Amino acid sequence: MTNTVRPAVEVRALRKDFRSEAGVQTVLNGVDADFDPGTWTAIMGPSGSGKSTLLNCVAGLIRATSGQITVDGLDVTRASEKELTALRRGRVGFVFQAFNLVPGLTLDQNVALPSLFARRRVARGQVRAALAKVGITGRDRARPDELSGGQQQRAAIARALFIGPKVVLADEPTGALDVKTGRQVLGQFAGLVQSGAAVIMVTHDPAVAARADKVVFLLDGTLRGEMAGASVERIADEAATWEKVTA
Amino acid sequence: MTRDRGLAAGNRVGGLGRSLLAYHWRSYVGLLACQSVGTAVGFASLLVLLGAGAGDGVVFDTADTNRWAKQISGLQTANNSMAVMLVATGFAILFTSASTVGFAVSGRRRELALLRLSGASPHQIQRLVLREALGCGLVATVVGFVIGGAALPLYTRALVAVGGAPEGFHPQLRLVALVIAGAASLIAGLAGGWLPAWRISRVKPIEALGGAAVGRQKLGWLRWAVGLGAAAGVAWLLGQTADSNTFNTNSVGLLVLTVTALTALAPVIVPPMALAASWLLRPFQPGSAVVAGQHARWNARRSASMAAPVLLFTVMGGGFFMMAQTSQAVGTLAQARSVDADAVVAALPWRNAAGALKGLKSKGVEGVAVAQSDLWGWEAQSPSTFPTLTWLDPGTAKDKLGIHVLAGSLADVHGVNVASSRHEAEVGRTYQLQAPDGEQVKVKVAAVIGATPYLNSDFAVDRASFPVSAASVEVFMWGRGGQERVAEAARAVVAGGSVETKEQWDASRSTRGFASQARGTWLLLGAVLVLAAVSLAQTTAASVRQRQREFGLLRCVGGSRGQVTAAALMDAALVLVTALILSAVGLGLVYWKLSVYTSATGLDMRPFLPLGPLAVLAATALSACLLASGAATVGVNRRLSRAA
Ligand SMILES: Nc1ncnc2c1ncn2[C@@H]1O[C@H](COP(=O)(O)OP(=O)(O)OP(=O)(O)O)[C@@H](O)[C@H]1O
Ligand SMILES: [Mg+2]
Repeated sequence: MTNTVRPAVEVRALRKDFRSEAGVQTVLNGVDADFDPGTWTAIMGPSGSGKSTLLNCVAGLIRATSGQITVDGLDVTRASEKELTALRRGRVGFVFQAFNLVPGLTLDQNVALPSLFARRRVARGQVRAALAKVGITGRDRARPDELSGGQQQRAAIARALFIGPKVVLADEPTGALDVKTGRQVLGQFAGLVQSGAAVIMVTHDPAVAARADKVVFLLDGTLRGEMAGASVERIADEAATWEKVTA
Repeated sequence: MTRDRGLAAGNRVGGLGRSLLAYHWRSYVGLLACQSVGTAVGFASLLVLLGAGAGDGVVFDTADTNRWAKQISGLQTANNSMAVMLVATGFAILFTSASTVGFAVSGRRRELALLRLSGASPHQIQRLVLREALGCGLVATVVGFVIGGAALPLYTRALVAVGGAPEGFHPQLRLVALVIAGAASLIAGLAGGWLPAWRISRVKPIEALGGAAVGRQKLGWLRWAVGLGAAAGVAWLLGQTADSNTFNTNSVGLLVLTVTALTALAPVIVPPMALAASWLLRPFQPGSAVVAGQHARWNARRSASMAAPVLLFTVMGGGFFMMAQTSQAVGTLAQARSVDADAVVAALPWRNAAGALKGLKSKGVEGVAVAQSDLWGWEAQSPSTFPTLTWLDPGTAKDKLGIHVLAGSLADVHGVNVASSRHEAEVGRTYQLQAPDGEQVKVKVAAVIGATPYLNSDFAVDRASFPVSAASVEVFMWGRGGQERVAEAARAVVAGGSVETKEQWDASRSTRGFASQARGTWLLLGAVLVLAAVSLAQTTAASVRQRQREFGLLRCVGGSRGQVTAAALMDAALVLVTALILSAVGLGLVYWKLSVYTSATGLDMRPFLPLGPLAVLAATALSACLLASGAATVGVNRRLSRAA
């Protein structure tokens, strides 16, 4: 990795509070991180540690309390609705645990969705190619409910692939899948990384995290214990240690 | 590198709107039905309006000024009633569109949030929803044209039959009506859909992630503004004193504003009421009652959309009903007051009409004729409401009122409500009649005042048409059950005329009998009722279908099939009963306003609440909802069992 490459995502002194009747809860407190193009980062951490919150902040879905997040040059903490919309159309892709696809639309429409909203002309062949890349062929006119969960996840990845994103945000993308299907889906993430995207993936599973280039832990509101190229066992050990530390 | 044939023109991915509409069309069935019929009625009404302006099909009898005046006034009546009709249908389309679109998109928050997440701008979401409403509107407009065109002859015939248009009236099909009605229907549909489309376009992309769609749904500022604004308008109108010129606009305004205020504020009014009502059901089915009550409470928007059509149809229907009665009564009184003559023959539908007309005597009007009608469901005039008159006893009337009483009417109002021109008194002619007490009187008729065209097609419109003064008096009273006796007396005295009882009259003119025409009108009303039921049933069924997952969960935590069904049924019933209570409040306001107005005009009259038709409406609405939610729940239950 060369340092001349500008990070796809820069997070600086990020803080996120949630206000409720019970009082103010600080979920993220001083998160600093860079996510480079062409790297795959796995974020781990105990339930409720704020992983989804971090991802949502980066996506501009919720506003940070303070700090700065730059996604492909755009400060999403201050961006307008219009700028965020433009970001979603061409530079950021999403993959969630489930319900990624719009039920009323066919697969090819779902995959082409961001481009269609951007008023780009989309040729059917291109969509078919994107679906084929994730291993779905001949089903481009099917509706989401006619597909298995794994196929739906892969179609969501195809949608992310299709826009050629700078950043892909994935929150437990294999959480609802069995091990074998999960492995297939992860294989498609590798394709995204190769195409130059910065993939940020939240997971609980050390085996899934081991596929990433690096693993970070979110604990007590900050990122810690970055590991690169670690084995499944090391990640599992590390996760157990960190959980003990915070307990 | 492969050559990509897909790049050829025409092989693009697109048509999101079309795909989504094809997927969600079920939620638009109610709108389609309502807008089709609305367009049909609007189209036919516009044709009648334009036809009335041109006098289509009417052969004017300029030689007979009396008849000519009648024809002109008939066309005016057609014109006026159609104008009211057009406003009402426009409002109904606007309203159903707003509530259906609102309901249709409320179940799709998550999907639309996902579209936002995929790069759709709020503007694009709004246009997507509006395009769905437009697509539905286009189909509805075409269907409406077909229905409206086909029903035009029937519509006109019914109108002529009830005296709302002159004999022979036959409106032509006009292209301009097609253009105007089509454009108006589409615009009303779009305008109605605009607000819910705008609201849903504000959906946060993050809602695509969680199940957080439910939860307290706050009333938007726009809804508050519309609701409170309309409520303020209602209060203002209630404070206004209307005269006969502003009465119609005021009453229609009151109805429209009342419905608007109630429905706009329904999300804050209906849920707590429904929740409170659910407590009554707890002893019977605790689990289902809790689920139903909480669902009605938390899904404020959905509860409001379900309550909306009930509010619309009951308040509008009942309100128009009472308004029609009032305007007839008041209009007739205004006519009677403007007659500068000695004799008045009237068929007045309000209670204590004789008392009201008695006042005319002081103006030098000596002739007073009163006949009852129950066309609008008036309570039968009973002796108790007539302290000054005794029913069926003309002699007493003479003593008490100090006016002559004749058995038999020149107006010849046939038992219930219809006069044929053969039997009517002719203005300007003198009749030699014999009173029951044996006195011979000559009556020259100055004017015939029909309460309405419904009651008597020969009614006073133009004072200039009735310059003849009479020197005599007639009081007509025709009690129930006494028809034959009175007719007998009348036969003896009406020179050269034949007098028939209602039954005879009906029998001799079965083709033109009012009863058969009335059946046609009731048929139309029935169609409207069915329509309301369809839209209601559809909303209810959609609401159940949206809850498939929740029902699955209820089954998982031990709810039986019956309990899940009970929860769905209770939920629909709670919202509906609440809506009916609110409708009663709205109708009460309208009733009060109309009463104040009639008493201000000096009429001792209270509008009669059409309890019978309202009960039918309520029962239809309730059973439509229960049937629909029951059927939908059975469907959902079956799907759940299959999935299990
Ligand atoms: N909208 C919200 N309002 C209030 N508190 C919230 C909100 N969203 C998240 N939280 C709180 O923030 C904390 C972090 O939540 P988050 O969903 O980010 O956790 P997570 O690390 O993704 O957990 P999991 O692994 O279970 O998905 C939790 O304590 C949660 O209660
Ligand atoms: Mg999470």
